[in-house]
Amino acid sequence: MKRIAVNIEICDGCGVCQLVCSAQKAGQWHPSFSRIIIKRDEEFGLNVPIFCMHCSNPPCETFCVMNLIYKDHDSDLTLRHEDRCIGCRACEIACPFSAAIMDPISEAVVNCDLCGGDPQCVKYCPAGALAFIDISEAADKKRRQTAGLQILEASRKL
Amino acid sequence: MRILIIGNGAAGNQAAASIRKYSPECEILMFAREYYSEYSACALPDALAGWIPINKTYLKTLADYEQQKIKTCFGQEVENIDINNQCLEAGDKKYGYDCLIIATGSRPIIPPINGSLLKGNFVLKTPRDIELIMEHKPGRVVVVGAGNIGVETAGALRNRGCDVKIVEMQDWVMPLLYDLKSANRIRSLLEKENIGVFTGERVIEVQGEQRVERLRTDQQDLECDTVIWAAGVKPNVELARQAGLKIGSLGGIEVDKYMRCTHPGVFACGDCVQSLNVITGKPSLSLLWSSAKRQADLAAANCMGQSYEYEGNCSVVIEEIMGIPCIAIGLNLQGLNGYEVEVIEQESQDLYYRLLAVNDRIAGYQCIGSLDGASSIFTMIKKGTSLSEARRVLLNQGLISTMAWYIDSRRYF
Ligand SMILES: Cc1cc2nc3c(=O)[nH]c(=O)nc-3n(C[C@H](O)[C@H](O)[C@H](O)COP(=O)(O)OP(=O)(O)OC[C@H]3O[C@@H](n4cnc5c(N)ncnc54)[C@H](O)[C@@H]3O)c2cc1C
Repeated sequence: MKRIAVNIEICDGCGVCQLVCSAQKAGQWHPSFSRIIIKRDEEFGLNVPIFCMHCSNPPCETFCVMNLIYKDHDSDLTLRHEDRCIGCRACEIACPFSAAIMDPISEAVVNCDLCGGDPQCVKYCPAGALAFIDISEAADKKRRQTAGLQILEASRKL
Repeated sequence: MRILIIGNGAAGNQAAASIRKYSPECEILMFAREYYSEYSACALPDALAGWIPINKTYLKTLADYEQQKIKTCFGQEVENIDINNQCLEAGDKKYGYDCLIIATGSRPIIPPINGSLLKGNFVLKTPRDIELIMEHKPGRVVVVGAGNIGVETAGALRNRGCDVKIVEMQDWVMPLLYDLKSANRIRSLLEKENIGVFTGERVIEVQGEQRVERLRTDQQDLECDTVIWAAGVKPNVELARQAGLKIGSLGGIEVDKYMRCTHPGVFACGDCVQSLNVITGKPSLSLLWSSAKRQADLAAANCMGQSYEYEGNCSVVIEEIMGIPCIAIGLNLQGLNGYEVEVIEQESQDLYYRLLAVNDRIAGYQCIGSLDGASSIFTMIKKGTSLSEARRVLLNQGLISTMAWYIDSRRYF
């Protein structure tokens, strides 16, 4: 099972991931359409990319008043029937990672779907801060120490 | 194994779906008063407003039930439960069960006052209600009750071009969710939308010859052709009471942490139960979609032999009024009555927020103008995070870098 991991020590917040994502997913070239969001912390000069963690028991699914969020059996991803979304934003509040985003044009709330197994943000990250890794292989100690994996582990505890 | 579910709402359908995760084969029978398939009550105001078509409020087709192997007994009022003999009665037939899940939900309250049955009185609970309201061609509307349903209904009919007024008995709008200051912001948003807001007024009667002509309050007469009752909802517990199951002090079916009623083999979930509030640990009626689904998921799992405990309910209500997002999470001062509450608040032209804490523990949050950071605060309230702990994380570079999703909430602390 492959997931995106981040090495926050390397991420310099350039924002290319957001642009590539917005182009791929919404046909726009603007960070507000991106399913990956760089949280910028001016206080500490931090840049941390955030995206859907595909929680095993996703709170967004429970909160969705249209019952349109589901766990895909095969991929274990958290996916949506976006066309049925009424934009109530309950899933945004339910998401502990703030990783559900309102698409400003379709007015549907969306989340990262790993681009069907070929995440464009990872492919184009100039700094190499994003990786697409098999999390079952992640016993590899060094990798586990990257923040991305800490994030993934946090999400599995939910 | 045969499981009977009473109710075709959020709770009943979640229970059925969750049972299927444990057993693809066991027999599931679902009873409901209405003939149609599951719909989202939360989407009704959007359909009433005309933002979405009515058919979009339906979440399932009848074929979906078949596919989930749920046998439907729709249009079937359950008349009696015989808990000692493990069976129920509906339409002259008896149905035995190994396990019963009661998900009978709630109904809008219409107070027994003069004129409340005249033509032109409505509630908003089902897609059918929207059709009835629209067929009536509402022009001048009074919405009774300024809870979230009342406020959304008022906004919806305003969008249809109606003249709309709201009458609320308590002193401010959404009194169970917001405190006075935040409610006043919402009030001025409603007034900007040209909705008349009258608080601290009690409805005395509805007047009219053949149909609604005016609504009389203890302070004035409001000319209108339509009255919409949004003065709260009441759990449907008559069936459970008759069966001898215990009804709690707030009028909801009493359940334990495992969603079990006071008799073996019987579970209950959704609007019909009272459950413990995650903040105070005291009984409360949650009456929310997410609570119904969460409780139903647990009831189903536990009826399939698991033993998952309910963590307790925590309210989240989001509205958008005049394009401005408004959110209330956890409890307001009224809900925290009896506790010493610390209030942190900030006010600017287009943002107002307040954070409530009891013994340093974050207990409530209200914000008009933004949803940023609200998901973090919701997580903190559910987890019982204290203000000092939140500040410690938010001000520590090492911690915040691995929990960067909290960054947006820093401004509130
Ligand atoms: C207009 C409106 C807007 C709302 N907006 C929101 C919102 O924004 N966010 C939110 O969280 N919540 C909202 N809610 C509340 C939310 O919709 C409810 O909490 C939820 O629908 C409860 O689901 P339930 O399954 O417990 O009950 P219900 O949906 O009431 O279902 C009860 C079922 O039981 C059946 N039944 C009852 N008695 C019998 C009997 N004797 N025999 C056979 N069948 C029986 C009924 O036919 C029905 O199928 C809103 C509600 C309304 C009405």
